[in-house]
Amino acid sequence: MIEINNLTFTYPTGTNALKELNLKINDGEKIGIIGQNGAGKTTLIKNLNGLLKPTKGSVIVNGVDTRNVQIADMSKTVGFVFQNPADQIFNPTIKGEIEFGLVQQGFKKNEIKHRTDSVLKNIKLYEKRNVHPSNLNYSERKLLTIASVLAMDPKIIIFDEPITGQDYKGKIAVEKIIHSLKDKTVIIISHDMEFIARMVDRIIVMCDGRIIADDSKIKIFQNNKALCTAFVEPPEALKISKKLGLKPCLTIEECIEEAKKVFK
Amino acid sequence: MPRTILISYIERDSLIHKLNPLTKLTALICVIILAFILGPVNNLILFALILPLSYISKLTWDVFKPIRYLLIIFAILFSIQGLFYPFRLTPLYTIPFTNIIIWKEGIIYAAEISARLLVMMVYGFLFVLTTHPGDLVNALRKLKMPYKVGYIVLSTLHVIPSIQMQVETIIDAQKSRGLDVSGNIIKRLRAYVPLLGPLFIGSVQQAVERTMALEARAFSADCEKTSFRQTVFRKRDRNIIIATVIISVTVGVLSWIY
Repeated sequence: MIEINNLTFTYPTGTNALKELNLKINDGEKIGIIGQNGAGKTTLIKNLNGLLKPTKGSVIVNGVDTRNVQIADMSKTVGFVFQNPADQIFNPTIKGEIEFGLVQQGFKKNEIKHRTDSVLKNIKLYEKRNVHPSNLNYSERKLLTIASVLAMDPKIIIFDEPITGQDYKGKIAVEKIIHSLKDKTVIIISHDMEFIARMVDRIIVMCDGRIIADDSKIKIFQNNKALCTAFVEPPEALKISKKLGLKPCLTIEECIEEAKKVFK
Repeated sequence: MPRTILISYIERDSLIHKLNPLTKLTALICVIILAFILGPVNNLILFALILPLSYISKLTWDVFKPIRYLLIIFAILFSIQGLFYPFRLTPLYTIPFTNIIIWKEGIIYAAEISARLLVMMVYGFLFVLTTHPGDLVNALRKLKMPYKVGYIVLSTLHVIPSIQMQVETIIDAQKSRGLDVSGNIIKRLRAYVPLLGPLFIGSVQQAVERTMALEARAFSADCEKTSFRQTVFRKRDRNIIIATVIISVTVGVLSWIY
């Protein structure tokens, strides 16, 4: 469980990026964080794994105050997939990239091999395990960064813009992986509302360093005031279902099913 | 959003900001020459003069934080020179239970270099923080400097904060996977080695992309370039340059004589 109490964060440049946030995230929840660029989304998630320490207030992750622990220790609980794979990948082989985090955490050889092979098979890169990561395309590199975090098996996984720059195949692969994380707490930042609608149950809307709405996805996407303030457009499926007079739907698939029922 | 103070121009309404970049550049060159002429004690006096200048430029103490990185260089300098200075004569201290001697001449030599570095760093830093890169290039171009050379100066000043931000992101990415960058200096240096790969690759990629972006926007076009930013060389700039040169030559000559 994550508990955020009166979290305020100010950068050394004086920018007040987060203003007295209060938030509670339960185990296993799938959360989406949305809002404009500069709303404070990335600053908030960097406070969750201790990369940033609160200027005021506290962040408690599974009973541990992030101010009192090293990031290296927090990485056992909170996994963080960065937006740009180039910032993360540096090992000469795909296998080595997966092993890096496990080695840092002191796992034994057998366990490292087992976990590495397992995630590599999962993302279908097992056959290429000895290849240099620069030989992979962007989508595959992104999958590799996700896999390197999954191998560490943290309870909470944060994805910062996981499908930005991805082709269709890459998007589907990322969605499949996130869907498979049933017992994990998943936090996703994205500007793609269709993706958010498919992936999460609860949405937090941020604007100017504050949480302006926090509710179930269906309620958030019908909260025009919050969406307008945060300059966010709801998914197309919701607009279509409204125009057709159907029950509000967030995905095209839901919309088709609903239309079939109504217009039978 | 970067966590560290970026080494780039900070806008303030101050006298130093308003000076022509060439005035500040001349003063910086004078200071650097003086730093090489003066001894460590006089260099520390020169260093102290940064305090009123930073006050006049309305820059807070925060902007001097990157100077702390010099401490690592100083530690290395004093260790190496103190132990291995080639013209060593006078033992200063013998480390107990060992035969390791720290030599007085080495420590003095390290102090001289450190004082010079300190002076050059703070004045160079003040120059970068108070001079808009565009104004600098514009002023240099008025001195008939080729446009491409001007761009090299400009891009260098832009690249520093960009690399700073990239380093921060890469460090965050590796820390999030359990990389421990705490502990003694050797442990820290070893931990930072993995960061060099993504940084180097990223910088090369950025340079290639920037080259293509420049060419796509007619960088090599063979015509007279214009500029949005205009710099004015006022009477006060001329007076400050004359005063700086006279003071520097006087101090330099006096220091050389005595």
